[in-house]
Amino acid sequence: MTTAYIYDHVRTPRGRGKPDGSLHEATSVHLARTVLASLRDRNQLDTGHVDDVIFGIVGPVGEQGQCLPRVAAIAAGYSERTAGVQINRFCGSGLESVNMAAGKIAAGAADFVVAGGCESMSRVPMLSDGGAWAVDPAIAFASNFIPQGISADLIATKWGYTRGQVDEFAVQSHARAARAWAEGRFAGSVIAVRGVLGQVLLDRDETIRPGCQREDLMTLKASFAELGVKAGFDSLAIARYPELERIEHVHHAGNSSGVVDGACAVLIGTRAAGDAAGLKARARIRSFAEIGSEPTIMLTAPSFAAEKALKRAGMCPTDIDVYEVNEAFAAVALRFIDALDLDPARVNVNGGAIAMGHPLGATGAMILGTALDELERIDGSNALVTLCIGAGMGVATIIERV
Amino acid sequence: MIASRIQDHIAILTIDMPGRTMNVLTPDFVHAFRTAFDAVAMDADVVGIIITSGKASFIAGADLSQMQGMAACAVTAATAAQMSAIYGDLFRHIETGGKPVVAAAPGTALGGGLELMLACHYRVAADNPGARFGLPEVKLGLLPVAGGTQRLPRLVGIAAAIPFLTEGYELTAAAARSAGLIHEVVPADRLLEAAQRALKEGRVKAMAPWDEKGFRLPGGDAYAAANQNALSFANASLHAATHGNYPAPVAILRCLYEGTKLPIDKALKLEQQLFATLVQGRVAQSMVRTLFCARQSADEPPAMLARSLDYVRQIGKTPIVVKDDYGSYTTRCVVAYMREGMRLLVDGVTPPLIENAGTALGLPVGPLALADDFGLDVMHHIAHFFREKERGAWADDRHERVNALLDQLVLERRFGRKTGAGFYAYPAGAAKHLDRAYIAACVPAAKMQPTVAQVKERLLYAQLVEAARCWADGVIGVAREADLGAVLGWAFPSWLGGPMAAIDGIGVPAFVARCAALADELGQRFAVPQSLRDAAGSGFCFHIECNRRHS
Repeated sequence: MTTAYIYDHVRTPRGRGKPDGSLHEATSVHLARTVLASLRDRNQLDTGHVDDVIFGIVGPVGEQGQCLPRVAAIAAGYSERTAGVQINRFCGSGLESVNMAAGKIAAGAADFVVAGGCESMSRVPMLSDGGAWAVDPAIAFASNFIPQGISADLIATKWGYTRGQVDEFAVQSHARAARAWAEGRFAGSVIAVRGVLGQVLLDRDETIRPGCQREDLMTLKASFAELGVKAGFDSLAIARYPELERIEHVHHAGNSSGVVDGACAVLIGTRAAGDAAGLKARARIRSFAEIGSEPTIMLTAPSFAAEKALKRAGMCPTDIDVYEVNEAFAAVALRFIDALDLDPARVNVNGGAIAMGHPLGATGAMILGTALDELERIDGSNALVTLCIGAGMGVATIIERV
Repeated sequence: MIASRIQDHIAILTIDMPGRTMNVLTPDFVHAFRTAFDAVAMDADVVGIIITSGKASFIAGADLSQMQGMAACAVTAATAAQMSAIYGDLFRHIETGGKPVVAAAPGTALGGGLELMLACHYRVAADNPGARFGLPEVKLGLLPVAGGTQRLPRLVGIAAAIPFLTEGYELTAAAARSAGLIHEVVPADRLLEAAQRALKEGRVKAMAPWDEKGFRLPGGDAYAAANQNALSFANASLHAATHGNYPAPVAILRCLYEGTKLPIDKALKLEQQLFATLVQGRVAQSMVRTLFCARQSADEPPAMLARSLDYVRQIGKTPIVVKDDYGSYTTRCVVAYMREGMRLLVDGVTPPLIENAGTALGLPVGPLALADDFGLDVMHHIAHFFREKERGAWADDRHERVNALLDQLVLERRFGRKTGAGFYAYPAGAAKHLDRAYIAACVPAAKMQPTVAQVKERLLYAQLVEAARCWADGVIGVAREADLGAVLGWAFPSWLGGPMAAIDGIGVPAFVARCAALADELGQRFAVPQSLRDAAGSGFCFHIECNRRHS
């Protein structure tokens, strides 16, 4: 099996995922070709050697439909020999694309693959693609569907994370992200998105609130309380977890991942291909894993996926220097930390999606890049990146600096 | 049954079934109506057809005694679909007969009666204040099988159709007009005139909207934003409310989600197939028998759909004959439910698990909440009263540990809601919640917790065993009355039909065997009366015509 190396990664900043967001006028293809072009240019890459572009896109409809990665590669001026494919494993797609790229390389089927993702949530809102899970009665009944926000509140209830604790975690995400930007920790990896006249549309993550305090979050109403009661989702959660009397609703927009626009590209290849291109490998992919778990509580899978990846690598949790767990909801991260008995000081040290946002198809690749940058900054060895995913899935990847 | 006359080239078919106060749909009706309809449809002289009723109401629905035939032992699901198809096929025949048809309703049209109206090209109703229009089949565990689940959304859209079908509510004539189900409401003495005028003025097409080229579902398909939201919401709220115990709501939603994507003829077939899955199932059979057939006396005409579905009127009219014994049937059984809930607590089962098992079974509240509402002082009194009357190992097991708990609660004046403290705490201005701290102090939590299925079984069997004891004691004697009395008396889950139907559903020998196993494992309180043990070997059922088909 051929080892897969990470050579480079680049991402756009995350723009507010609403019409007033700074990336709203950037089409999804434009975001994708921006990162593809940058990856090529800063590595002086002959894209004729890039076999495939695998991008995560969770809303592949409208302008995000029709195999956007191939179209974006063409638009970025890639060699016509570079194929492209869009994948969807919900929120884990960006990391899944990295894993699939690693798999192709390990199988000897590719020399260079660009993995990553792209999502313009301001232009193609969540759930634009429909989907049977919640809507088809036969499926919704059989799978005991509840929306993820209620799953997050279920986690908080089951393990006793209070409103104070989840809000505190949110404050920390903002503080750490603000510090990371202030110290230039993302400088090597974030590239500006430009408009028609080459003007900068956005060059920084724009949803971070540097001075955010608990008091600012206290007044926010829990987002899912009314839905939980009126639509019966709380009852469905309790039907699966009947040891609970009620669901405590603690999550709101301020302690959940932000809705944003963004794209990311990661260059993955064989050692031989990198050498031939004059590129220095930054890390190797040691192991990766996908897993399914109970779909109603849905968001506890990161620890299961992490354990699976660790086992595959013959490692244990304390071998990992840097953890990135996607902050879909604060309780998800808190539970991950507790489930693996981690030192919180090693988890999401540069903030996370609560502060910076979660551009669905791209996030997994973005936080992999963040983990790699942090490993280099602290001269660490191993990082583990994981995300919770709709319908109870989880995905994890372990990288080792080389 | 059907009177036919022609006036000014318009045929008027008047339905008036002899010997009944309301018209109902029967196979005989279908045959007679089709003959009369075809005669005028094929008459070149006739330019339009009016269907009306000679009674104060239009049609009350299908005669529900047919439902049992559809679930008889030798009848396959495909055959049941065919049997139920005769109404829908007739209505489709009317709709596609090539002549404009107006339904003129002097009064109530429910179930199949409304479905007939929906298959007509124009609908007029009299402004009769007592008239009701609805599709209440869901209340019997069924769905409208003569096109109601398909024509309704094609008229008013998916989102509006959902509550109408899943709640089965009934509208006045005016409300039905506002909702888009009826075209015109007119004074009663102008009903026929309005129907004739609509035809003469050319306002009635001989074709349904959904048979016209380019027809689009109002409000869009299932994935139009409003419909996505409505379906997601309905899926969850109905699933939560039914605890997965009632198959009709999901079947109705499937009719809407899957059927609206199809051309009307395929959609009508789908509706019949989904109906067949319901009518043959134990839930619908139990609900139809208990809720519809229970009130009988020899002189009364066969029960009518409209009256049988009105619980409030039923409670006033239903005589449940109960022998005057140490406790009435309903008291003994509801106390059995609460008593087993408290026994579960004493056994160290976590309190939310007990309560959630009760509601998952289909009771409106858990046994501990019910006990708090009853009053724990009342429970204490009842408990000691029953203790004096009941003897034997089963009685000892039933009472000793629970009565000790009740003694303690009463000593501490924890009477439940009335004293602001019981199994629950009742903080001012906030929702009540289980007093976990108090309960933990009373009773240590068991290390091994049962599954919710096991807790449900204990709570159910406690009620069934008590009902069997009431039967053995001669407190109740007619299975249908006992079942209805349970559903109305303490909200025993109607999806089970009633305690007697539930035992028949398990099978008397299997029930007796399971009780013996529970008695060995959990205590003699689950022992059944000897007379039931004796009867088990002889093919005894509580319901004479007990139906062995399982859903």
